[in-house]
Amino acid sequence: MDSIAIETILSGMLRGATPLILLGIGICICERSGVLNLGQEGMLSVGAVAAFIVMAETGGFWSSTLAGVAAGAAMAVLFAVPTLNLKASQVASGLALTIFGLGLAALLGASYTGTTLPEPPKLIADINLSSSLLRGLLLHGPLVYLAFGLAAAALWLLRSHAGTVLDACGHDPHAAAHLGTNVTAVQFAAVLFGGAMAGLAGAYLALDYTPVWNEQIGGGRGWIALALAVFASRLIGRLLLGALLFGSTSVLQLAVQTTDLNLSSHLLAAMPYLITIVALVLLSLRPPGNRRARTPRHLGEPT
Amino acid sequence: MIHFEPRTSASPLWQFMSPCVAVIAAVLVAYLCLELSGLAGTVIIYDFFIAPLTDEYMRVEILGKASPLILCALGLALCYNANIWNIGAEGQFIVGAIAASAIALHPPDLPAALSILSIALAGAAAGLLWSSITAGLKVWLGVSEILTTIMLNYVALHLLAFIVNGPLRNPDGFNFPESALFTEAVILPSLHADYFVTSGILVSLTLAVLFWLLHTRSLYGFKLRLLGEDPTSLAFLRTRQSFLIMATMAISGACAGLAGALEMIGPVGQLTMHVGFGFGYTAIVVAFLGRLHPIAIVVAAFVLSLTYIGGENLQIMHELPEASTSIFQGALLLCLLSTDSLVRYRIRWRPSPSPATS
Repeated sequence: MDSIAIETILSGMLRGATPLILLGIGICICERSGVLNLGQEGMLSVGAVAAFIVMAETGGFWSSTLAGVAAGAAMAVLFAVPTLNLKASQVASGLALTIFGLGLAALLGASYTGTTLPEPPKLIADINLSSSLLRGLLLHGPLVYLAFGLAAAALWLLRSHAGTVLDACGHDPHAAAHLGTNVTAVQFAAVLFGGAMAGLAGAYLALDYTPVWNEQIGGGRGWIALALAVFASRLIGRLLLGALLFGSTSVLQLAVQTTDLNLSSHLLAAMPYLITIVALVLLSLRPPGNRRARTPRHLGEPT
Repeated sequence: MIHFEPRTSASPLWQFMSPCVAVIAAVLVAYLCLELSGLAGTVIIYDFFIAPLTDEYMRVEILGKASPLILCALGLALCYNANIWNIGAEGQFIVGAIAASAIALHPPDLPAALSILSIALAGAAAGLLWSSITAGLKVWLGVSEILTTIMLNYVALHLLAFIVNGPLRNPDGFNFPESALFTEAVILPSLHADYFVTSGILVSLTLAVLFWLLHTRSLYGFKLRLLGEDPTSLAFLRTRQSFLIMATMAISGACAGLAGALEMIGPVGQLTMHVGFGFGYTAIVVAFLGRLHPIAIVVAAFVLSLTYIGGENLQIMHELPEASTSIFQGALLLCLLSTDSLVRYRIRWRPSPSPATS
């Protein structure tokens, strides 16, 4: 394998994995508190459109990122109030949020269709790195590294006292309430955090991954990340592994296209979704009884 | 402080009122959003909801768009009653449309009525197979149906792109991603002399009545509700959950596939990338707005069909994107789910805040 191939594979993997890691961290935290939010795709798209508009109008990278985060969190409120305060069905509310968010993103972004944003800043200026390994790892936008930093922070959080409280809310909200935890408040915070992370993932997509606006910017990543969280048993370490594996499928897609297999590009585009199904099937074949792999007992149920 | 007190039984008043309040609330939300973004709210709301009712062509279109929505929502409601979260009507609709088009482009040498029947059956069978993938994975391997149905929606969309760019592309179509037009013989007859009103609506309405009978008068309907509310008690009826889930998903998929087929040989008349129209997703809103009840679903389908036509109006008159319709649909479902809590809970004021909110 030559050096250019190594660089392409590494960089494609990191770039493909970043939005899934960001989404996945939010989903893991949210689901461990016992809340199943299927509105990821909607929050992702609204986060993306907010970041895109602010970037196109002001040109500030960090203020645009912040706009994406804020928009994602604001969307999450629309999910949290019906489900946590009014005890509506989480599955249905999440679907509603996705339908709403996709529409809102399309409406707000309509006048920007085809607009291209300026090149995002790189963390390290393009110094003449000779090693293709280092080039593949280091020459990315800051949000790629932020994703890994946030993963480390989430790992630490989940092992702290706060993580225990979060798990308690997910496994046995009544017991947690008896011990003095305000379960609704914890879950509300977790849902807001999930929204902020989805918004951040959207900001990454809009500012760095594909800085040209189109309605389908999410591309089903919200759903794939939900599957990834199941696959990872809501554990951050496995999530990172899964996201990196998944990120490399886009590289694989390009690789297959260059071979003589002569597969239709349309069928290849369906691959990530098929791989997700296969991953879920493989997961189900795993022997039961893994203590750490337990799904929060009260996931998706109103308390 | 507000406190939710569970009712001993669902409130019949609010079961009826909740969808009405939700529609009004969603319209108010839409109005506020429009005014806040500096658009003429009143005019747009009028063109969205009222204008489609004043014009005969648009009234006819509402009827046409309601037909696939009813079919998809009937199947979905069956699943939701049993707590099966099928969100794959969109994909099942698309594969139904593909299968129907494959036959409609090469119609069998049969009388018109029979070839139309074979097309409709092909669509239903394709939808059934598509949903059975999900059902099989759920029943035998315990894979969540929510994620597989969504993934299969995306797969179906890419499959459609492959089909219209490859096997079924019109050879004389200048490489446009669309099939040739179907021959007149396989198109459903129109119910209206001047405008095309698909007779598919008759199929939808008939099935709505049949589903109502199935739901209220059959043992299957009873078992289905049992599966949703208390699955363990099914064992006393000597019914296996897995069989019930497979059957329900199959019926649901067949409905969506049939909707796709009837849409193809009805108003559309050729396979293109735009066969979906998001009917499968809108049908979710229809099913909930219709309280998962087959007859109420028909009413709900007309309300949401109106928003399709209203959305087209906005596109033409106000240059708003087509997708703005789904803002209203999403807001409507969120409002509905919120007002639905009044069916199951009473709101009470309690003077002192309680320490544990559970």
